Amino acid sequence: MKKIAVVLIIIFSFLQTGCWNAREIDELAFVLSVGIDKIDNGFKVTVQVASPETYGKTPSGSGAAQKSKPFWTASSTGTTIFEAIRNMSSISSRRIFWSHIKVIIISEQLARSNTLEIFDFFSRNPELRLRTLVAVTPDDAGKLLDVVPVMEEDPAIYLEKIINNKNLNGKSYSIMLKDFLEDYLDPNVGSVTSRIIFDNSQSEPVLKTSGAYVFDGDKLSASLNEGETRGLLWIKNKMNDSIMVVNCPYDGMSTTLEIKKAKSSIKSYLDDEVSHFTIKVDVTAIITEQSCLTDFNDSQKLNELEKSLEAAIRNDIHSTINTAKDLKIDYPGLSRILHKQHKDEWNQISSKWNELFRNTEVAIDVKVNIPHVSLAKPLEPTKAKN
Amino acid sequence: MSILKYLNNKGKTKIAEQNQKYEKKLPQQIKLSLDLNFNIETIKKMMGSASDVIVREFTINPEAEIKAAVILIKGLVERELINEQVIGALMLNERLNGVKNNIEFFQMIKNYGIPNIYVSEEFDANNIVSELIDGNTVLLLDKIDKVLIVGSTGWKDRAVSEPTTENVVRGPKDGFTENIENNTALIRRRIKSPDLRMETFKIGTKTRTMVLIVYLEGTAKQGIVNEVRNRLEHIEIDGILESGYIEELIEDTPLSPFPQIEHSERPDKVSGAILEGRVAILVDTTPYVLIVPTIFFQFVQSADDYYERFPIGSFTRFVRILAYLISVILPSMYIALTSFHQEMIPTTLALSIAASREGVPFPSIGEAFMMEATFEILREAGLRLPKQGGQAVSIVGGLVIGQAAVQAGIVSQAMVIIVALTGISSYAIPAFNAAASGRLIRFPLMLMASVLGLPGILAGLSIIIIHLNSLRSFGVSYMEPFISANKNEFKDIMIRFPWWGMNRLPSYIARRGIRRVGYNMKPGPRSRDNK
Amino acid sequence: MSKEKVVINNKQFRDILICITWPTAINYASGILAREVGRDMWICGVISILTVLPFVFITIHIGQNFPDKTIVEYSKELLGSVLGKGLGLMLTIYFFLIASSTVSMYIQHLSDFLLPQTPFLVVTVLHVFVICYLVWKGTEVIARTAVIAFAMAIIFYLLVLMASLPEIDINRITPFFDSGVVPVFKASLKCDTFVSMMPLIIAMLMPMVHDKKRTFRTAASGLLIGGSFFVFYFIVELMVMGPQVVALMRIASMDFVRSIQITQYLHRFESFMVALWYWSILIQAGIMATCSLEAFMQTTSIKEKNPLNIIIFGLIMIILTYYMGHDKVFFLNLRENVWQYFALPIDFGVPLLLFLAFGVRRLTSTKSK
Repeated sequence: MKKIAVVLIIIFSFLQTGCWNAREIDELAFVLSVGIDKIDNGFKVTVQVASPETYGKTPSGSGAAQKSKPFWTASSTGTTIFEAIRNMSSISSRRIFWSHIKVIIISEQLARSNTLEIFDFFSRNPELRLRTLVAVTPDDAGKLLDVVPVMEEDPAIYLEKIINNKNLNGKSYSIMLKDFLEDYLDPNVGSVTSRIIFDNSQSEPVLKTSGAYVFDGDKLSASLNEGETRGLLWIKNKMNDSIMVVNCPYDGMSTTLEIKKAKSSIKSYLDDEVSHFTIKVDVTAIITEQSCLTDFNDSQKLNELEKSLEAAIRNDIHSTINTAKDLKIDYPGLSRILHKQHKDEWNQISSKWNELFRNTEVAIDVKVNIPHVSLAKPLEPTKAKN
Repeated sequence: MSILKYLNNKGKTKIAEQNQKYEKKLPQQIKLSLDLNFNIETIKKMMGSASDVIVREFTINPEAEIKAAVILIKGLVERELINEQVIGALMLNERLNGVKNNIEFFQMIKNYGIPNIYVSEEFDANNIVSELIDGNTVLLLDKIDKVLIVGSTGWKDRAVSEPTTENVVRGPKDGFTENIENNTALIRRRIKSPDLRMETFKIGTKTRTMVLIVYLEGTAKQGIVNEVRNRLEHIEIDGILESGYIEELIEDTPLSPFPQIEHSERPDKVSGAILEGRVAILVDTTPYVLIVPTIFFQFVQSADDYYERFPIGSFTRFVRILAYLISVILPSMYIALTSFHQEMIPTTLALSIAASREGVPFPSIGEAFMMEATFEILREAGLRLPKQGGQAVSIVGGLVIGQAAVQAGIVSQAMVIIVALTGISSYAIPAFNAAASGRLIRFPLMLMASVLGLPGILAGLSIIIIHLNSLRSFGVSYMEPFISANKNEFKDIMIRFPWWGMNRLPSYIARRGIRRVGYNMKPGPRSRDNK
Repeated sequence: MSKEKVVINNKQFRDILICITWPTAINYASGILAREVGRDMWICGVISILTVLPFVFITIHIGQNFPDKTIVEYSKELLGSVLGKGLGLMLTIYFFLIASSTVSMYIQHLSDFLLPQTPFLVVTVLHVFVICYLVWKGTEVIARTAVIAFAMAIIFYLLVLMASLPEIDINRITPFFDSGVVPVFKASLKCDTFVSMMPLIIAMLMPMVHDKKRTFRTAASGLLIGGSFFVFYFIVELMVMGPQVVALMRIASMDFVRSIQITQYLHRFESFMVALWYWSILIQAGIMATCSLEAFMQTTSIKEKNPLNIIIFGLIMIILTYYMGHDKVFFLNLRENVWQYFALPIDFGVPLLLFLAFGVRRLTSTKSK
């Protein structure tokens, strides 16, 4: 009798439940990227939603015409970000679902004024992943999301892939939200984000990654050009599989070298409130293209080439460090190295780091090794030996 | 509380009183008299003058006029045998001519009158009638109050043929039949050791079905054999028609969806089990033999794992375990993922599923239940239809209902795939009762998934696993050997170790430490020191 | 408990102990410790594990002189019947609180991330029901399920390792002892609140272990393996996310699992990780609840479990879990600031007290001889 009562109570208590959290998959709008702009007293949020009809392989009603754009953008405004997003429910029939978001794009104008609210929202939201990519653009973020990419189905995947391709050209930067927040919360280090611009040189406008932006605290401070970005990538050890173009030592024509392996290590010491850093970079590169006719199978000529590559790398890193010193923002993260290697002295000077950074001395030591050259002799017509 | 108890008990006593009126008292011993006709009448009256009871009266010695009669049940006896060995032998035997005394005559007949291997005396009418129903012949003599029972069973039996439910790719193709003597012969053909013990029980008051337990003495644990004997002796039921009745009456936990006793139709599988130390229970009139004790992982083992080489044997076991998991968890996972945790699905897949669900009116839970119910109906229908109709059912079920439902927009394509995959996986498990347990568990899990998503599935799974862990089968834990976690016991569970490696019998079933394979059995060049 | 003697294998015992250590520690402890000491939270983990080890030794040493008796039973002998009963009652309440807190941690985890709109009470009722079923079935079933939970834990850590390898940055952990040595030791006391109930649990479970001579070896290996699990998790968490971000989160483990991915296609597998973690926390809550019930039954000399007891037990647990866990700010405050003041005296004080009483008894008995 007692057992029956217990079982009945349990079964009935289950039957009282509803499915509070059940959301059918076709009532969700999958947001793939979001762009945030500044308008007077508020924010304008543009979301880009993938439209499911174009992803389905066999549409249930055959004969429906393909939409011209495989995605759909919607934007709305509000005084805070979350209000702007909720205001979007007045134009979107489906619930905004953040879990598949790939990129967050912030306009430069907004980044210069205040970003605290943005990052607070994105780190509190449980649906978001901390692996989302962060990028800043000098243009209008909403317009950026409207560009129809040529090869991919929607811009968010396109953006994610071109940002992650930073390795291949070495001129842009990529950062995830979790790393960005780590730098953001550290008072001595400045955070860096990717930079996306419109490229109007093609027949249709496409998106392009170029350079990076530096944040000072929570405001955008300056942008880095491609050389400085490359220097930053050298310091952060992310130049594997990238290329460098240098001038041939004898001709002045250009040679392209592909970096196979690059490893940097930094040593530091403090000398009476002046910090000294020695950056050592070990590079292995191969020649992929040369337009000069020097035969690099000769090891002496190869040495010259190695030296010119070393000079170019050194140049890059110097330009980054100088920019950092000028801006008084330690975005290469040198303070962390000092902290790690000299903890006690660091604790004394940490509060004054931002001024002391101006006087930092950095010595750069690059070693390049070119292990092989693909062609046994340069590509030039030779007279046949008679 | 006490009022309820009083009312309850009052109802019980009333029913007990009523039953007592209708219960027959135990029949007393009915004795036979010296008169032949009286005996014949007594026996016929006990059988209710049934029309298949045949009485043949004859005279044996025309000079001494010794009257005799033969009573048999036609249909149960072999007529040639009765004609030749009983009636013919007595009528045509000349050695019996000179006997005058009936009592002497009785002894002579018993000793050298009837050329049959089974001849015995009987004087209690109840036993005589039970022997008659068993198919033996009763020989009565005038002026003697005892009878002779002559063995003459010879009913029509099914010949030994392929087992219908357990198909193997490689292995012997004979299966048990309904005759228990055939079945014991099939086992004896394989296990030729004199240690094979068989104990008989007759269970069921109206059916008096013969039940045998078979085990290897010295290998099987005495505790398990005693327990089996104990439980069989305590069964009180009116009839045993199939071994399933016995299975339900001797199980440890009858309220569990998981079967704790295995059954098989194959003599090689039963012999393998007996060799491992298990006890087999054979039941007359059914080809399904019960094997106790059971562990959960037996249900993913099939006989041909042992006959093929060990890599393919192990691989097919993994496939079956995977099939079991799929058949239990897949629909609920689908419901949970698409209704609650859409972030877990890769983006392109999520968009495809969303596209396929456009225009479908029901939520995924409703779709899932509908499709599963349809599949179960199709499955049952497929079993019951005659052979001619079977093809039509598979075509109708598979193609038309699935495809047409998708195109009409009632269900989504993804759901059809899920249900089909689940159904096929449940057929991959060799034991029907284990697959049935999977089917039973699937529905509560789908309910839990539809209410709470993945945590609901987890809660349901944990209840199932807690339940599994607490089951026992005749003293052996159901989830052995994972529980004792002894490395040597794992040789036959998820993978099948090669025969030269399985040195000892599993110690949770057989007596400890029995070595079954000799030393150095691995094939290879033998050095001079090894044998 | 009185009908048949419950016997647990040594391997099952070790698996139970592993399952007690790591689940709650990776949940709340990482956030609490990161707010205190930042980078060195893994050192706190190591120190707290090593601190518990001597107490385990003391408890086992005392327990081996009273075979077949749990701590509640032999404390009646050692401390006298009034103090012994008081100790039993205190242990009952303490274990019950830990069980409730464990269940509420799990449910908060769920209701923050996986099921935000489901009312707290519904999920609580369901999971307390599962735990009541587990307690009703007994310690043997818990031990068998612990073997499965251990296997799941290993899969969990392998997945974490595989998924976080591309993201590891050693610079985030160094330098060691960043915040100074003394704060690290103080913070390890806070970490102790998650692990140090182990000697008492061992004392409750010891009579059931099959091989009594190897108890210390089993217990030590269980403690060390469980501890290495969560220290490993702390290290990987720091290396992937960095101490600032870990300090920001309330339940850092969830955000950590969300920041790693295995391949491009399984990019949000945190529900899967919750499924693997769930088994260990089920075992932890189950063992605590069982020990609480056992302590209660032994203090009040009830011999058998009947369903009414379990139902009342379950209802009280539902109410307490709801009260503690429903308000997450309250729970975080409770766990971070208040818990150590009553948990640590019990955890460290009871074994020492019993040890003293045992020593005194032994001295007086040798003297009287």
